[in-house]
Amino acid sequence: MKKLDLSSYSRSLAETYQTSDFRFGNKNGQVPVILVTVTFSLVSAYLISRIFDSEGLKANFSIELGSLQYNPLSKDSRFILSNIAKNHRIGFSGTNIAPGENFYKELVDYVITEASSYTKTPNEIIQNFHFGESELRQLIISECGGEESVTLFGENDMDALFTGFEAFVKPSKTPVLIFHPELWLDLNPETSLLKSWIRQNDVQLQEINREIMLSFRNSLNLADILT
Amino acid sequence: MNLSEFENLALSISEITGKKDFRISSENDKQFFMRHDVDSSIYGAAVFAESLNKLGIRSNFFIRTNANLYNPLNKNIQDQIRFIAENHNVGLHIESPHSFLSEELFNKEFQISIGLLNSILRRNIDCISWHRPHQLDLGGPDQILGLTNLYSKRFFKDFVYISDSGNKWSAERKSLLFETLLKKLPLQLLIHPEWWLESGFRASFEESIRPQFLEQFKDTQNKFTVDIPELNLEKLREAAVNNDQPLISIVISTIGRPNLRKLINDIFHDLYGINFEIVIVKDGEQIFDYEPSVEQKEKIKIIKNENRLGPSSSFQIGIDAAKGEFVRIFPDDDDWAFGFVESAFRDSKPGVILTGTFLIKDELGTGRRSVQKNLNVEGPLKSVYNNTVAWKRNPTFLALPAMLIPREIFDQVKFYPGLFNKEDIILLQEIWEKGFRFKTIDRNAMTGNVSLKRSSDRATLDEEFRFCEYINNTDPDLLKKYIYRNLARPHVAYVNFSWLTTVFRLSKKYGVKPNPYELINLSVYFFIGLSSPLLRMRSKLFKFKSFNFRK
Repeated sequence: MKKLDLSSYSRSLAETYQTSDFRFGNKNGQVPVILVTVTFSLVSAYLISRIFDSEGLKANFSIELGSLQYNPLSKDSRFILSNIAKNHRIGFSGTNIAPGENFYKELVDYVITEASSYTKTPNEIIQNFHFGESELRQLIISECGGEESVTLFGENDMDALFTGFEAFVKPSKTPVLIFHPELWLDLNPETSLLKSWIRQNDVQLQEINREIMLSFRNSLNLADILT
Repeated sequence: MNLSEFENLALSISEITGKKDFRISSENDKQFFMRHDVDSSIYGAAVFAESLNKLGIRSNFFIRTNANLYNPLNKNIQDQIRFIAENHNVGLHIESPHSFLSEELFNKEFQISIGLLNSILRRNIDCISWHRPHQLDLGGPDQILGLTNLYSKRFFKDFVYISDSGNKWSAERKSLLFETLLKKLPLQLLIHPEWWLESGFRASFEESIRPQFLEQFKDTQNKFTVDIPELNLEKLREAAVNNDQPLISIVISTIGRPNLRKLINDIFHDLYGINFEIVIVKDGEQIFDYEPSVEQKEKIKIIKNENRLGPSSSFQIGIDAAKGEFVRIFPDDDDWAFGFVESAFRDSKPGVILTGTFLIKDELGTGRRSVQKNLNVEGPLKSVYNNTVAWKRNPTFLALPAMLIPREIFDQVKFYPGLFNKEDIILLQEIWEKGFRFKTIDRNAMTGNVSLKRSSDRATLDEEFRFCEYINNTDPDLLKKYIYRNLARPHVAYVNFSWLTTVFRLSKKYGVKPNPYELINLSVYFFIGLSSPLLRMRSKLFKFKSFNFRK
């Protein structure tokens, strides 16, 4: 499989489908929906969102609330979320939190409200919440208008969108591309966790924040950097 | 400091007090209790709890819900919290209302945090400790929204308070601890697990999280067979320097501060990836001379004044040589506050930013800084600065490094030459007079200052806002009078011809006439001091007055 370059890939998608809106409900069943599922690294999700921004793409982000890697309740996380929410739709997942607690609904509302309060411009945050992969699937299916109308893709299927697309997807179905940010950036969970652990023992937060801030500062140029 | 040292400490305490229950309770109300604030590592706290369990000792752990480094929504983390709560008391560790923009925001965060902890523990928590408390929090009310406040007057002022905050645990603290225990005085002991647990924490990490995590990642990895593109850090850094980021100039005037190298290193560390330059103006003979390292040289410009011209002239020389779009000015007695520049640019393009004001004691010789307290604020405008932050604490204090100033302002405003003090507030007045306005930034974004300054001694956000508001909306005549009065009553060490000229210039410009006391003062300086050999003697006597290196 060819090496992935998110920036040129996004550009190709936009050109192929003649649109920049890849969010749920983009009103064109033939246009794929992009769903970025964020489990390990909120920073990498932010970087992905900025790459999309630089190409003018709008997508969906599903944020895992129970990550070991980041705390969605921390101020930095909320700040990142609010920035993603400026141009994209955000939903939340709870794969790694204890299901069935009514309290979490309240908590999700809180995270959403907080994210909105940071965003000065009107945003389109979806208030969806699911507890696991199957629920996520259900959510996507319902967003796209029923099981018959959706086909899910992972990163390894992506070439199919450009080659042999017709054979792969029925014309009546909406393709949904599921992106895992850590696969596109060198922020894979193992190294990232180890890094943050090492930092925790040494310089701690300052370093972690440095990484986040560095990402903010440079995100506009990421398209050139990810080669 | 390690785990076994802590265990010995806990055992000794237990022997002296004859108790194994160190929890807060009505029984312990006026005796001894121990608490552990879990700032960054829940696994560290769990190791700590386990170790106390082995000793049969019960203690108090305070958990954060909004920490950057652990997520209380995660099942595994929740298990650790519940494990700790099996034998120990658990409470909430959260920033105080002074760290929030409004009481409403604090209440919201507070309620959600309590709800989350109660839900994890399936019982109601009943006490709270502040994370990085502000000075105003010390000795607060007994209860905060129904929870026992461990920084209340009862627990903070009436109890002896000993802590290892900032990783500082000394023989002195240990003896104070035992002395207090032997005297049976009420005592609150704060121990952070993170500081004592290097090896224990690592073991805990390796055993509990890593395998689980690798397993989790393996699944993800198996799903996809793609080449993962590398994030090229070198390119990232280059991009940061070459893109449209404005250049920030840090202008430092120094008579040879001993910790200049540390300041420069801090700047390089903090502004990594930011487009910046440093202009150092060596003002006259240097007490400790500084030469930059080879790697740092390309970003540093050094200018030498043959004779000592004073900070205001040196700043102006530095600013004239600076090429940045924004300027941050550093006198000899300020430390670098991490995150300030970042925060200023988070907003968008900054205007005149003023925030993060501290007062620190001048202890350059030891390289250690402490916050100056108990300043007696007196003066004709006491009621004015009572409502502001910097002046409230010291009428002459304004931290130049707390300002990030667009370079264009210096096309219109210059430092008055030759001044050794008050140059900052005069600059502020001049900037204000040209129609520029000040704003403050979210102090919580300044994350790195913990190791340098105690956040408890910083101005609250509310105070900072009020300060900016005050500066922006103040009665200009009042401010001018204030500045003039301060300038016209200098310490003898600061008197020189430039000072006298400035006093007269400002007197004319501001339309303020010296009162009889000041008139006598000025006349004496003018007729005796300035023209006699006493001046030279004065200058020798007071040359390094403000820098006591032998402390």
